[in-house]
Amino acid sequence: MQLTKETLEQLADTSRVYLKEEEKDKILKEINQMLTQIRNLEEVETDVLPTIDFTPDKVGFREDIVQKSLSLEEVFRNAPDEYEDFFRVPKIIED
Amino acid sequence: MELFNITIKEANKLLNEKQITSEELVETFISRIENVDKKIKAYITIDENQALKDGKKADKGIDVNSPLKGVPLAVKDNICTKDLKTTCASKMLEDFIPPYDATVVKKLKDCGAVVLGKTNLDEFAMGSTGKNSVFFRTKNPWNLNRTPGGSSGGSAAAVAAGECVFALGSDTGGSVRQPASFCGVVGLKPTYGRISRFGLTAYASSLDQIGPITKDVTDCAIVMEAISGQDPKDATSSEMPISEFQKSLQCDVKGLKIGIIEEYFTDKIDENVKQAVIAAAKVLEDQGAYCDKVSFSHINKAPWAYRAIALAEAASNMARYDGIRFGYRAEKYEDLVDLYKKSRGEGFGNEVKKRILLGTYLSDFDEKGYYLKAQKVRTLLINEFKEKFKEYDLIIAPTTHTVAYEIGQSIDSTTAHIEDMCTTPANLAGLPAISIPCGFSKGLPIGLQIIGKPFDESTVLRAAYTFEQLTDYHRKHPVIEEE
Repeated sequence: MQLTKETLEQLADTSRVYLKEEEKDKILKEINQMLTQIRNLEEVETDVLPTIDFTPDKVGFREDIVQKSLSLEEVFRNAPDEYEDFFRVPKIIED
Repeated sequence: MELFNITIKEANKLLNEKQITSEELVETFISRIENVDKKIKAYITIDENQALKDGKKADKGIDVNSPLKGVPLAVKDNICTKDLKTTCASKMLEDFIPPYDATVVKKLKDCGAVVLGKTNLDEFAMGSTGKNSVFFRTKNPWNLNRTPGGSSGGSAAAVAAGECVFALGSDTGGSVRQPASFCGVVGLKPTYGRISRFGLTAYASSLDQIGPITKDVTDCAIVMEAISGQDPKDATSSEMPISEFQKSLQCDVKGLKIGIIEEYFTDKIDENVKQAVIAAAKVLEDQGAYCDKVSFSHINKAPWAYRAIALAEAASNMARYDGIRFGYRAEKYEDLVDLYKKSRGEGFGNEVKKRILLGTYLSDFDEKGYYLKAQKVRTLLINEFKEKFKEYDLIIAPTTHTVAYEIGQSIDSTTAHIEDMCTTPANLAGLPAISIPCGFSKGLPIGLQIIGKPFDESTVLRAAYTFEQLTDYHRKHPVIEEE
């Protein structure tokens, strides 16, 4: 079954990606082609457990030692909009 | 020989013998970049002033004993470099200046290596031709009408064109090996966990690995020694001791058992590529290796599993680009959610958006459970490699089924499947795999892929080095008319 334009719009909403009306048809066609390939997985016999973690040794936990962190100047250098020591975003609480 | 075709080992010798200074070496490459990069377009950013400063610093005698001291390199533009733009070839990060170095970059700088600049890639490393860079397309130095491959196309082209001594790339499904093959240079995807990914922009975290792109196998071993090892900043980096990779550079494959994957030898593979790989196996066999055809019943399913896993992981990793703390923010929006949507909709290119959308489907909407199924297929593939490695020391295959594509050539789903079938198995199984030049077809390089057991880069390098000692493909360089 092919994904519909409605599903595409739901996916765009969930993943917070704005799609222009004129790009929807092209993207829908292309992701349906990609999905057709992935659907071939259905025909594979898989009587095994899924791979969850294949790192060969234990996860590298480290000691919780306080270290020097980035300065505020470094943290804000790439911020699109900041005010004093904060990242500024549109108002989200009603008056 | 032209100085810009120099290897790390040769540069180190000239520097030690004081026949040249590091500053002069940096100047040589800056000049080469000025002369040919208008044609090749390998670099997004060139850091001329800092490179010259670092070259001078290396000459003044920084207290380090490394063959990389004073040697200029290029870094793929999805690996963070402190105070130097790291764009991922995306509008999203067009102005992003990292406040820190990736661990691999820090390690190389600590060795005294000099970063010349940042190389082009498919946006966020998503692609295999370079067409997805938001800035421009890199050209293959062997033929300017051909792609250098991708996603580390800029790094491979820069090495092949003599625009650096060596480079770093990243490999999620073949992105170091395929461009290395297309550009006639050496590219290694190390074992998963061998090298820290701290500072590498994440694409698909269970597959991503950083790897060196070099002019020969000796240089590959030198860079591997410098960048391998456990890192407290990357919990997936392994505590396995770093091998002395340079010691494995011996012209000796006597008694090695090598399996040649027979599923690659169909009519879908370019006849010249097939012949070159068979001839390469013969070279190793003549040196006392035992080569045999081996069948992998699940290898043709690897591309489907790879797609499902890579896309689902990509959708999750790309969620951090929200236009709040760093990266592109849309100019016009109505509220916070609209800010996210517009910033991401305008900041990401078509391919990235597609992968996020389909990855979101696979993570959240898909009732058939393709992601879980893909991880089961991955288990089958890992088990199959484990089984074969009981009998064989190494597995060989073509790196790519064809030589470099023409720029603009459309790649249909069958072609994409065969391409992914060659490279993605090593990522899915976390295995080390190298691509080395093994021939030419239509004047374009062919790559031989050698896959090893987990953390056995040493045997991979030994076989690659042996082949290299007996052939001269790695000594051939493309001729690019300077401007």
